Amino acid sequence: MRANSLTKGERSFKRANIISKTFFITFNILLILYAASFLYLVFWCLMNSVKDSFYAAYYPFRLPDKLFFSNFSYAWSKISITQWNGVLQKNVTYTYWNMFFYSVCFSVGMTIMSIFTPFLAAYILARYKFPGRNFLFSMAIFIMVLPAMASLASSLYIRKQLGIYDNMLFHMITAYGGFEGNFLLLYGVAKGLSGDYAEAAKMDGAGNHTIMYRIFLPMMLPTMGALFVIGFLGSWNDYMTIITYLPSTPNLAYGVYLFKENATVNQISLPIMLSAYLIIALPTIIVWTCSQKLIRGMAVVGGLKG
Amino acid sequence: MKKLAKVIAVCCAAMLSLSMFGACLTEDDSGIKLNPNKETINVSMFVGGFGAEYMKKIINTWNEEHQDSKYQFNIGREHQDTAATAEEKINSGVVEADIYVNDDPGIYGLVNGGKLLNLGEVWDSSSDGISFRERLREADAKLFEEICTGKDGKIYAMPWTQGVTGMLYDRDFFEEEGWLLEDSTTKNGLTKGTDGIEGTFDDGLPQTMGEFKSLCEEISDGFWPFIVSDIVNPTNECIDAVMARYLGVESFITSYTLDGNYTDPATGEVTKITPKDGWKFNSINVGLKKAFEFLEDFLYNGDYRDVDEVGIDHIAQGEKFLFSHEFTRIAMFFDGCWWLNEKSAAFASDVQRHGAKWSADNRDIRFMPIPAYEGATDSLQGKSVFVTNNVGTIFAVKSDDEEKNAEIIKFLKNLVTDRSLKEFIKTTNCMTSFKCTLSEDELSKLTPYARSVYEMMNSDSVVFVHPAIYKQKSLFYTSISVPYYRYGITYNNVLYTNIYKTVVEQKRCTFNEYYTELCNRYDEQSWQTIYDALVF
Amino acid sequence: MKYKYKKQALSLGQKEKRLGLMKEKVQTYLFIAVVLAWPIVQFLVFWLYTNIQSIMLAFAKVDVDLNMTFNGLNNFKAAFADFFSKEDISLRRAFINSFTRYFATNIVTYTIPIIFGFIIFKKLPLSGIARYCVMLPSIISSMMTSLVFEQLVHSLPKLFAGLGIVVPDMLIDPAYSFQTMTFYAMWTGCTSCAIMYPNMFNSVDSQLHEAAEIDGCTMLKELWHVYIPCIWPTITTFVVTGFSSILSSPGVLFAFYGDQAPYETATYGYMVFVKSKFGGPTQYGYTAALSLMGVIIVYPLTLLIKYLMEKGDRINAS
Repeated sequence: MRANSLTKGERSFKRANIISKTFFITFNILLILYAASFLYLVFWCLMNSVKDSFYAAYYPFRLPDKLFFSNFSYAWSKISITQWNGVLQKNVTYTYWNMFFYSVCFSVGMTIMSIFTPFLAAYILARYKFPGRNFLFSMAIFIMVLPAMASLASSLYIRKQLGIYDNMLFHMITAYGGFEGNFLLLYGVAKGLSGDYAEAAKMDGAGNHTIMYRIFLPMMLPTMGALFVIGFLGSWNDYMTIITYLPSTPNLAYGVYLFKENATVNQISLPIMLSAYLIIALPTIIVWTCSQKLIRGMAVVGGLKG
Repeated sequence: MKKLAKVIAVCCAAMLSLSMFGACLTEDDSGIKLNPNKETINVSMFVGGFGAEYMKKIINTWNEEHQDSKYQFNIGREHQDTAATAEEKINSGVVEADIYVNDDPGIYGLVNGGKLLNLGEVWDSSSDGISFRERLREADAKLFEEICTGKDGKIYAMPWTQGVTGMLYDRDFFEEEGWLLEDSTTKNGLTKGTDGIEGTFDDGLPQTMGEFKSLCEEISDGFWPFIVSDIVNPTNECIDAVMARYLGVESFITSYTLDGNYTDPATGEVTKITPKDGWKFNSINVGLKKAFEFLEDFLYNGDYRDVDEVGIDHIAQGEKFLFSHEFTRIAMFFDGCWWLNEKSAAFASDVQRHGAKWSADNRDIRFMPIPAYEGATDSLQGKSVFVTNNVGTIFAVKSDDEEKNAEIIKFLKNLVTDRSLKEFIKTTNCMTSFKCTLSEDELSKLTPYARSVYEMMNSDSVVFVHPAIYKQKSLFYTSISVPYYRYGITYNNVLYTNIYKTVVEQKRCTFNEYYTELCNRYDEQSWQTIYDALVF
Repeated sequence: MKYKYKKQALSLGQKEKRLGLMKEKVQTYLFIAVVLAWPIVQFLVFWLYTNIQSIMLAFAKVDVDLNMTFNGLNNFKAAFADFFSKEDISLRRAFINSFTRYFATNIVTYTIPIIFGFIIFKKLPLSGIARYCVMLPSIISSMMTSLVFEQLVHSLPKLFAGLGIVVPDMLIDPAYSFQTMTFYAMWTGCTSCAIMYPNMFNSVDSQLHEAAEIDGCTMLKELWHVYIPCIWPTITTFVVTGFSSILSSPGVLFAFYGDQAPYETATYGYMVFVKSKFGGPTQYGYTAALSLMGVIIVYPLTLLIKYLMEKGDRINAS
């Protein structure tokens, strides 16, 4: 094998000394075992989702003796929920596809806002000095530390007063503040970027908005992209927000939550519950699988000349 | 890279397109037929245990019969919220339904909140020749009315379900093994049971703890007498059942309110307990001692249950009980009256694997009253005692539309009719707080379990105690600023509040040690802190 | 000799320059105001208003009718009394557990993901598949992950009984429950290595890697001397945000134990959560005081951690 056909990692590994090689071989094996433990988790769910409740109750770790694929069709039929839509003022049944649509909208919208709003605050505080900057930064740390308690009633109250309760669009816009969540991470990233880019852009006549949106935003995209993926997955599985603020737009996570809560009443045993989890996870597994190379490719090469 | 991005874009577009179909909401296919031209009155249903199926049938029948009405009814939401959650939402302005069907009697704030509809008319109504109040068990009617009445003297709620809990036994198994107590003088060859009446639900069952002990010993030779999950709190309910059976109802109520008379069953001595000297109660309460003996000697006896089955939930408990005929068979378990409604999938699985013999229609599983310890009170006069873990309630939010309010009243009156109550029994295999009469033909169509529940709940030889309601009436559970734990002890400098977790799961101490700590938990001085913190 | 400074008149060019600078300053401040407007409004309306109650509750007494009356420092006195109580050590133990669990867990979850992330970044054998699998628990559902873990741990005694080995139920047995929950936190806490760290390594200037290659750096040295310093600000952020929730987050204990976690396992945040959820309205003031006490302890420590982490920044530390 010619040297220039080796990957970066292979080249690095080749020139490593014995300690380095041992270290990384050990951790590589650990990583594989770690990943295998999660694969086993999915395998266990798959294995038990095709059992009946008798076999799952007594032999949760054995391979199924009979396959009950009907669990999936039963779970599919039970995933839908029926409830009053306060916006439409009528009773509606939310099927899997309804909840999938809301999941997509909710996850994408919430994640974008959870990144964009903190980006605004993080960029300004990281790149500019102005009166009150330190106060705002301290406030951000304080917000992070102070837990929200007993604020549900006032949160619901203010949303009702403003007429934005049970409205997904307005909830997405107002849910995330500039100083919560991803603020510190984006602040760190923004602070770590070189100011030379901004100066070069200024010399070319760029204004503040241009520098922010066309220079620094693209440079922060790798981190924001990673945050987007993590945030998307988190929002996909978030049911508490739906229960509390958006009952008319249930997402798949809420469907699963209701599914689990009503398991005893709807006579849903462990295999059927696992079937439901897997059905609901399927879109995200597909998206995650397809986006592997895209996520790996998220990087920006430096733009300075000379 | 471009090709891959295209592929991903196509996949995402496809998913989004598919999901756009999802944006089109379908009309309700929950089983309730709705007319788009009518105004809908929504019912918020607690669905744990009894489910919502029975209400769907009742609503469908009502809507069909009231085609001319401006209104129709619908189940707007199924949930497992408590009344306290509903109260919080209603007070915040989030009113999700017009009628709320709950599983607990914690409605003190609601009935005094000024937002509920006056249901006095419902309470004063009659149906099928029986009044609303007559349908309630005589012993319970006054109690239920008290919790549904606000400070202004008006009634704002009504009782609904009763979560009767107790020991359930496999009667087929008992009959096969010959464990039912025999009496050659009776027609059915079995003893008459605690009520002394032949041909009732307690025939052949042990009446004393001595007989119960012999039964458990016999069962444990080859089988398991019990399987226990603590998720539905059998520990506390067993304590309540043993205590109530031993002390009688009045003393049992005093154990919750700490404000009433306590009668020692052995001596007949009556002690007046007041909240101020509540600290002494545990040490004089001999019923509590008997209850802990029951836990130690029976329910959690290592010889009478598989000790590896610790930490299981009640679904797994039910499944293992039902499926145990393939392994070491289990004779008894502790659950609520709704258990059969919740185990349909387990029955289906059992039938699929092992045949129709194991279906709910063919298995005879019944409630067994907990026997009395020697020296128990005579005040019950041969009656069996069962504990309810909760008493469900119904209330409605007052609307500005008087016509709507009137329609709601009519609907609620309809709930307390023979037809609706029978629908409840047929669908859930349980009964509500209201009595109704089933014909022989209707009874024959029920499962053996439902028949036994019907008989038990209509029997005059059964007393129900309602700790959930006594708690609502007690200062110690509703208005205290310092948390008061009924079974809280401090052991080795740590506060423990759950007997099962402390003794059975975590093995911190024995039942005897727990009981001793419970008796010595407070002294006069430390009790004063709790007493002073009461909000009067 | 004293010289009197005579204020000289500005030339036209100087005046223009000063005006230009002022204009630029005004434009910059305007830009800052426009960009920060929404975050600040959002903060004031949706955070400050809704959370001010949390702070006020700590000084209030709430009765069953939800009437609030000013209670001075009595809630704090009660909280202190419980914390230092000789009769009940559970709150004190929970406080210690919080820090013990944090440090035990995060020694793993701050170091291992970096190494795993580096392995994924360097595309060592099977790292691609590993990257895929490691995110699966987040994709599927945390409910499912905890359910499977619980099933597995409950089944271990029976599985090992067949081999003649006595294994306790490690979720229930108080002697093992803390370690088990810590292990669970570690097991589920290393998933950031799949996305975050490889992407962060990816954004490090490739010229640095090339320079290290030329200098004959081993992989280990490259990680330690090149990549970690470059992503140190981000690591700092993770550490600081993780530490800030040390006394407020209930973690996953509620999913496993409900409100009955053994005191050996309970954390401070969990105890506060359970007391506020199950204590009823009359406990709001007390639990708010407990929370605020946690904040008062953690806030300066968080700033200290931040300061120490920034000091450890080999590139940007001043």
